[in-house]
Amino acid sequence: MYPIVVLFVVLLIYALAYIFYGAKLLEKRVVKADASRPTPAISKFDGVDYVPANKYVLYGHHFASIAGAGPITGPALALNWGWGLPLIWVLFGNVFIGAVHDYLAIMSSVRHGGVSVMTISESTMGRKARYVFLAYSWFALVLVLAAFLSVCSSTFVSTPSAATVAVFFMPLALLFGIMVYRTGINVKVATLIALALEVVMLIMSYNTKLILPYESWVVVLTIYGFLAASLPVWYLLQPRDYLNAYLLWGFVVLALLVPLAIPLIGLTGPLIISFVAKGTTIGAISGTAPANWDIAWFWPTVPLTIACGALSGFHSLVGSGTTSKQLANELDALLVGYGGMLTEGAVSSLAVILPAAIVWDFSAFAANAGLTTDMIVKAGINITATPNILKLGGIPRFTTSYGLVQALMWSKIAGLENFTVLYKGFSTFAAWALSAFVLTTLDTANRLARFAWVEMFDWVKSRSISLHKVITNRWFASLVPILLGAVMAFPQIPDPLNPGKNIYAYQVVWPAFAGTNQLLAAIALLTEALWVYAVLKVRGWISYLIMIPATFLWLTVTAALFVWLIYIVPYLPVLYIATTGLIVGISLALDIILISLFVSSLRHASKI
Amino acid sequence: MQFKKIAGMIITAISVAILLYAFIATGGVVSGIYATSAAIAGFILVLLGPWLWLGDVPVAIRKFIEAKTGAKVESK
Repeated sequence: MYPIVVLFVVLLIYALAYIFYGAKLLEKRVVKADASRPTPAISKFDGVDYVPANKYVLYGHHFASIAGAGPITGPALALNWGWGLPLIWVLFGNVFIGAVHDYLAIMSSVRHGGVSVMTISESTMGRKARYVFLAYSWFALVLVLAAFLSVCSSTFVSTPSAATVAVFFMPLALLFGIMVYRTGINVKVATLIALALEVVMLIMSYNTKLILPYESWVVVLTIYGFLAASLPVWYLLQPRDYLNAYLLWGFVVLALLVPLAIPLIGLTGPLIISFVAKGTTIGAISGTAPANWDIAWFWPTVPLTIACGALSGFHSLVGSGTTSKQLANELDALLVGYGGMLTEGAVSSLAVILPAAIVWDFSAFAANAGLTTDMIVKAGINITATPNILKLGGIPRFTTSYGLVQALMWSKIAGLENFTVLYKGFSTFAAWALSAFVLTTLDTANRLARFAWVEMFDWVKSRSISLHKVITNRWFASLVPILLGAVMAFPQIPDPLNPGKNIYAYQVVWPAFAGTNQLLAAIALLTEALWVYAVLKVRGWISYLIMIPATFLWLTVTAALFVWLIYIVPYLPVLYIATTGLIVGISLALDIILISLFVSSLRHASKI
Repeated sequence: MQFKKIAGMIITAISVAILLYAFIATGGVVSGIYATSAAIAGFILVLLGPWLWLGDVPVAIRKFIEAKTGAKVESK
């Protein structure tokens, strides 16, 4: 197997999926997208959240928001199964589940006035389902905020130049917005000016470090998350995400160039190590079950390990949250939703899995690449202690392999003597891309939490208009979730799993997020499948194309949660049982309630 | 000119100045109490200043909505 073959297969599958599954089936035959139908961005325009955006701007926003750390860390951890199995799951999950889920989340929301998929569930599964779903999603978003505040702060501490890029990027994005909206400069000219400034800023940031302790970054990012979620989308979110998309696309395009530049270099990684990975690596907890149990079965636990790269419940919140409120034309949704998800899959498959497959065994990679092992050691990789990438943590697996293949590619032009410098430069660039993904997801998540909060308290309006006004005030509704997130990201507590070590408070509940997030995806896709069947009246084989993947996903996630409940939770320390264990238990209970509502609604719809 | 817009303009100018100070005056490595405080204050203020100054819905968006809906959009 060669890199060029992997690239060809991935691009071919994505092209066929986009044209036949996306455009010809979902857009034309299922949703019947209509350019003349006014979208909520126009019919409910409010100048803050409901604001139409150019489709490329919105594509940048959607892609940058759905791609948090997930498309990188998930596939990197899944390499424990080998590189072939995660790649197959990313491709399959992307085309048949993730992209369908994202596209339908946007379109169902657009047809329901821009409300979230949780509120849409009322029209298909009833009022109870709606509030259960809303509360569940809001809580999941608070968890995301806590985790991303922590991850982003840690990245800024470990790579201070990433903080510099983030801080200087905001004024640059605002400047771009002012150029386009206020001075009337043509978008192409403004883009060129902003990109030139962005390149200068990136080069300058490499040696410019913004050094702050972790706690200070949590505070700063909390203030940022609060402001960014409250300010109008056209002011910060749209120009920032538009420019950010170029940085992220630069990152993806560089990854695409590797198989073209070194097409026939041997892959040193194993296609499949085992269908049962060693240990108990599922989600974020490892080594908790008795040592002789290897329970990380590829099925059903793979969606808990690889989330965003293949499918993720968080995407339904973005699609039916910020994206649907900015869609100017129904025909834009295919590029934004289906295309955005395929792009995220490309991040996982071509920027994470393929580089890892190339550099897997460092000594073999050096031999294949015509490098000496001394050059790898000089780049800072201890080949004796870490002979292969599996010995590294999730994020270092990505930054190391991405940095090495980029350094190899560019050293063909710059000379092998510059290999070490190039490696350090590109591994830093990989860290910048990761923090850019995380930062955009952070403020989008807070905005989504605000939307969920507002929808959750709509019943107050009929009882007290003034109280409803206070509760749903956009500044107040943005402050509550980010403050709760900060409270969980701030304090450190002793980790009962690793005596002598401390963890941040949110980390005792974070392991449950893998399950809650994917359960959200399963319920959202079932809701969308029901919407297609009951509301759009799509019947026959086309409806099965959505119903079957939705049912498969629900079965997979439910089975994985039972694996957690039976094989992991009982062996956790008491603190984890009381937190993570409780959430897994509650999730399964909700899962059963929602699926019974789904089945009765489906029966009802089939009689009509 | 409204007070809000004047305040926004002043805040924008100050925030850009202190952001530049934080980076130029420290030779690229922003650490220590004064430089980091300046950088962070600049970062937060630069988000707010232009919004107060230029925070009305842009004319281009307003015209687009008016053309699509036929109704006049009030400036916010």
